[in-house]
Amino acid sequence: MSLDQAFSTFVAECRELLEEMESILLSLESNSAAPDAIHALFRGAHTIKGSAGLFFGLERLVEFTHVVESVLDQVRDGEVAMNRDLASLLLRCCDHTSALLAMTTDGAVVDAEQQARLLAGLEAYLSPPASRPLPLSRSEEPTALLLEVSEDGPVAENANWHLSLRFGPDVLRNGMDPASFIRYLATIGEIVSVHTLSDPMPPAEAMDPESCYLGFEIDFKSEADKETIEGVFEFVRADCRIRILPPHARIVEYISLLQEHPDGDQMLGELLVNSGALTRRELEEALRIQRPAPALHGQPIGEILVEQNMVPQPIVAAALHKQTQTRQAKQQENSTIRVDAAKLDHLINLIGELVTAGASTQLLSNRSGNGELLEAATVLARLVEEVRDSALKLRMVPIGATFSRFQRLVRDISQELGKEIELVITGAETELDKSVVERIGDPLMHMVRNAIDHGIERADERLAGGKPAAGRLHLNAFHESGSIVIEVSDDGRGLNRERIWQKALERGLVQPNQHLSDQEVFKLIFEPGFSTADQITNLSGRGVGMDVVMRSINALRGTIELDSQEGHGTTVSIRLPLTLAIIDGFLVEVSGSSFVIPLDMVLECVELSDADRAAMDERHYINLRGQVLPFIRLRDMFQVDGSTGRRENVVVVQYAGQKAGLVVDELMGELQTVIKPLGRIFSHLKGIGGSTVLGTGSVALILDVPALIQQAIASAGQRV
Amino acid sequence: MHAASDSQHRTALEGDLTIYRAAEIKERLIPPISAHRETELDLSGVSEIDSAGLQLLLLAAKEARRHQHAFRLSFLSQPVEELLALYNLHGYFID
Repeated sequence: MSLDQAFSTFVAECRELLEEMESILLSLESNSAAPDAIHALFRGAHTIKGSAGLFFGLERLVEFTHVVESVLDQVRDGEVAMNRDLASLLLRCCDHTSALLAMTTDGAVVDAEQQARLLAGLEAYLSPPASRPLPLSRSEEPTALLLEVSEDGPVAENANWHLSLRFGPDVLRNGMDPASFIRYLATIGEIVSVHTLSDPMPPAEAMDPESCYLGFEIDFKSEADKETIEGVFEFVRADCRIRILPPHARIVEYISLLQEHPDGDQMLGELLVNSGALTRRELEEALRIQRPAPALHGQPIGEILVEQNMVPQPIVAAALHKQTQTRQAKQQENSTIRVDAAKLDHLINLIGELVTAGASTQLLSNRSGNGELLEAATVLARLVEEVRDSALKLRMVPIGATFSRFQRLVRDISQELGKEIELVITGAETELDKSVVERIGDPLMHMVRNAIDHGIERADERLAGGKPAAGRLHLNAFHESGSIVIEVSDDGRGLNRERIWQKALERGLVQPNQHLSDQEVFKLIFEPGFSTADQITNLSGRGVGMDVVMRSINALRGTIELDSQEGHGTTVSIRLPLTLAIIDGFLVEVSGSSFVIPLDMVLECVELSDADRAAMDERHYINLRGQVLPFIRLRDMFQVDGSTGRRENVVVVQYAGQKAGLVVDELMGELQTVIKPLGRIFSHLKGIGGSTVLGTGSVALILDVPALIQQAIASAGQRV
Repeated sequence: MHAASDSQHRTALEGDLTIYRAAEIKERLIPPISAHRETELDLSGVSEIDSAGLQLLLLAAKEARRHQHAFRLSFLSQPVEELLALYNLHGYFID
């Protein structure tokens, strides 16, 4: 893998980790966090720091993340408690980390003042408790070697660091050697004594020559600080048990060290006395003080038992085996593959070609009359359909991830505006095409901002109106007849028809004598330059938003509907097609020209009755079992030459609750086909949404049903 | 390489005493220890040693103790001296 590829993988993973951390912090703020939330936070910061350290130019990111990691380490150890203030601070730190990352990818500028502020905030959590003596620094003289008693209990005489190291079994296999760590340690201080232990080593039959069974108790004289000494073991920190006791550490710390390793070839206590870490008197003191063993570093009990060698070898092996099994199970749960989007697109293109090829094969086999061939072709067609569906599903992602991002946005904006907002999300598992998901984020964000900024009133206004003080914002998504519908609803003040009408008049968007339905008036807010906001806030009201939203949605071949009740709230519904590539269609013919109607919008087909046919020129609707059905004659719409046949047929289509009839000559049946977009020359054509190549090799135009329905309704209205 | 009498066994290791040969060396080194009352290992020919190699020496010592036999190192090459010094195990192997 080239360095560039490695770097872009790092950036993607870093972003994911930051998102995860943000979501955990939000849940901590609202007291709904999972039990291992803190550990997940620590792992996130630790991984970001570690990976960033591999790349040149990310030093600032590494330094900053290191401080965050240290604070999280303290929280993990129980030294510092997590509370709302800390969670808030850490959220800001996540933002800043993103900014530091963006600095390398986009060349953005980082706010140095913000960094200084955040670091000061973090440092406050790192200052050691007043009772613990600080490690020797360069300018200080060694303090008196007396047995001091502090608030937390007696303190050891030992003026040296004591390091207790137990290397994990895979250290050697991973290409590392404990010897190199000890040699490196010797470069930042003086190694006073070393005791090498091999307690976990089993008898020869079971001993694995490539596993590591080594542990060390080291007394170390150094003026370096704990961070530097910890840093020596950075690469093995995750797999090894490392305890670093500073000079004059509290006796209780030695106690917990002893409790970690009660038995071995050499009693640890004796060892500590022999190496001078503890005096005999201190050891006796330590053993006398009763103190329950806390879960160290959040280690599960099973692991501690295994390490204490208090369990016979076969059971140790079984326990380790179980641990591996659990770890593997966890890995399987999260198993996904990162796929290059271009490769996926290429695959879908190929499948599109496959669909077309399959269609012509089927056609030819039909004509051949060869029974076996026909059967084989049918089987092939079915498989192609399955492959097509699976391939399209690869591109489908749940909208939940996009919705979750709004948690943070809503929290930030509501704090900024001083409004209390509750965000409710439903339908998060609803899936849609990846490319659509990417492009729907911004328009959605804009609508959410609008809802919070203009829709939801301030708490006092709401209470006066008999509403709960907290505003409710609801994000919903569901599938409906081949489309995905996304709703943004609020229970705020709703749209004011009058105000919108007035503004539209002012801007010359409407004439005074025009009659528009409520829907049509509401839709005026999507016109460019429109804004009824009295105050242009930071977020919205500049009048540039909603028309951009409309254009984005149109580009995705979607539509927007507004539903509002003054005083009660507004719901914006966005409707988008599910797939942009391949469709199931219904083929029709008009005088030899072929058209495809998206199957999911087809309701039924009926023959055009003689009565309707005769009356067609006068009235622009068809009588469908007593219902009025506006219609369009494709022959007229697209000005197809040729005379009409004896019978004509009507395909009844529907979209967003509206129906219309498309009058055609012949009904040819269902087909699946690849949408080939029309060139830009044809983009102004109303009623056509694309083209496709049929099995016969001829081209068929795909109808834009929503547009045709609108057209049918419009012309029916005019005639009446 | 092997001494004449059964109760005393002299052997030597040469070359790399590292993880790359650890499995092979274990097979050579350990079985004779249970078979002989005394085993003496000459490491003057060892050009490189790592912790995996060192572990085998520790294992040999443990095996000997388990069978109440003796195991010691007779001659040490420079790399072996250095690692034993680093780990403070010199006195452990050399009486």
